Amino acid sequence: MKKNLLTMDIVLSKEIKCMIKEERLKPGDRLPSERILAQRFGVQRMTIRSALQLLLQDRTILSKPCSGYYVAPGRICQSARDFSMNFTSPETGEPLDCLLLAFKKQRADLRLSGKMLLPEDTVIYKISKLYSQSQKPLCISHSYIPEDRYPGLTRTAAASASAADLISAGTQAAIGKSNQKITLVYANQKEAGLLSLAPGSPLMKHKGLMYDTAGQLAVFFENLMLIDHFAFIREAAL
Amino acid sequence: MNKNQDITAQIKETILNRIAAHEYLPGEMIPCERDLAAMYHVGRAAVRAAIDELVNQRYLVRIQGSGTFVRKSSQNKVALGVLNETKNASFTSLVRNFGIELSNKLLGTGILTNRKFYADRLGLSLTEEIYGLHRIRLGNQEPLALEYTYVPLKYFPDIGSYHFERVSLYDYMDSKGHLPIHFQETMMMQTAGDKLRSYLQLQEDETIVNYIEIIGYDSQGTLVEYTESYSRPDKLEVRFVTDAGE
Repeated sequence: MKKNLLTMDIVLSKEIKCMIKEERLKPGDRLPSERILAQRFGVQRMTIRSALQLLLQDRTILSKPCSGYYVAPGRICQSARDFSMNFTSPETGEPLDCLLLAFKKQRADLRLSGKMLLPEDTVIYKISKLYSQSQKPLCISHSYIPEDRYPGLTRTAAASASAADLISAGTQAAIGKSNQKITLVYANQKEAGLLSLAPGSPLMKHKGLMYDTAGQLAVFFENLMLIDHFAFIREAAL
Repeated sequence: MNKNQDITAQIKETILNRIAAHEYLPGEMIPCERDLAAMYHVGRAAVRAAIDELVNQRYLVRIQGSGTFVRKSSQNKVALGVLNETKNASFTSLVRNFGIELSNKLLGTGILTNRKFYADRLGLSLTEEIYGLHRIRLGNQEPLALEYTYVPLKYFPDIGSYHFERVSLYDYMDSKGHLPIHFQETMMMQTAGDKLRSYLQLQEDETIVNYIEIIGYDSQGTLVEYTESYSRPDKLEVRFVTDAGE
């Protein structure tokens, strides 16, 4: 066969990832040294170093100066089919800490009515929450529910469950469909403050519309998430 | 909100409206601080604060020594991973729908064996051969994504004789009766390293890329593709349509 012209550092980075899983290294565990890894995979140290760089960039590992490479905490995985969006820690399976930032009833302005495809001035509940893990804020979540979908929604109820769970529990129809989009945005002053970041820091924005099983719009959500801490999964429907 | 913040917010709004109304076009220089201050009868500090925020939020870009410009981005955004399984939404077909001419630059091809990670992903034993195809995907000659694709060689024994700069990989896979139509995807964002930055021609202040892993199954449910895709978030947006009843 002809010469292998594949980029080897990417291939090796995945093999190291596989090794971390097979050897059940946990977040905080130290990786073998570059020298040992090079021996083990039968490549030059330069190739190992560049593979490790790739793992630093996707935050599989962290480096400590003069000490070595360590397994990073896992990302919080969000399934595209899980409308509840109850973020749970990948290590403990515990839900993230959730703080209700604001709960208010408002009329949709031009921007909101455009996003929700509803007439301007429609009465809408806005629920804002901050999700944190070990005191570190990870995600600002804004959910909007038209008042007529959940008349009499209270602050206490809004604080107690996610928007999709509120709809499922409090109304006749559960969420049946959603349109979601993930984009890169940059934090404004307020967002940066809440997430303890510098203004202009990149953030992942996950937004979408959720419809109930009758096809009626039930929820519009906009989540601003720290880039390094989340992943989305969409299973194949075979 | 104090008075200065109020003025700053108003100027910001005005500039954004002018961008939205295409009065200021992408790539065009906006008036300088002094002129804006005179135009709106406000202090330069308020104008500077408004521009700072718009630069931070990537609407404007400052170029040292020349001025402040409307950022050229979001033009020709295409959707990536609109993979509602009922549609066969390969990258090529999606991009084609958006009227963008797609081409590929081949970085390398080769055969892997004895690589645990890739064998696992493709459901193969360690000794089975895997064909790898590393490409840059371009739209209208500009890089959109860097893609590392791997397929089981046993289903595509003559794959090495095709030139995937010109031939669509999915057309080829289809001709072998193994077109991927169901996809399992994992999506995240991550920091781009120097090599990726140069492949995707990212600018100095563009540090984040989309990363998507795709496992593709053909109509028989056979695992036929594993792809890692790094794409420019300003060119490709990630969308999902999810049906609870799927």
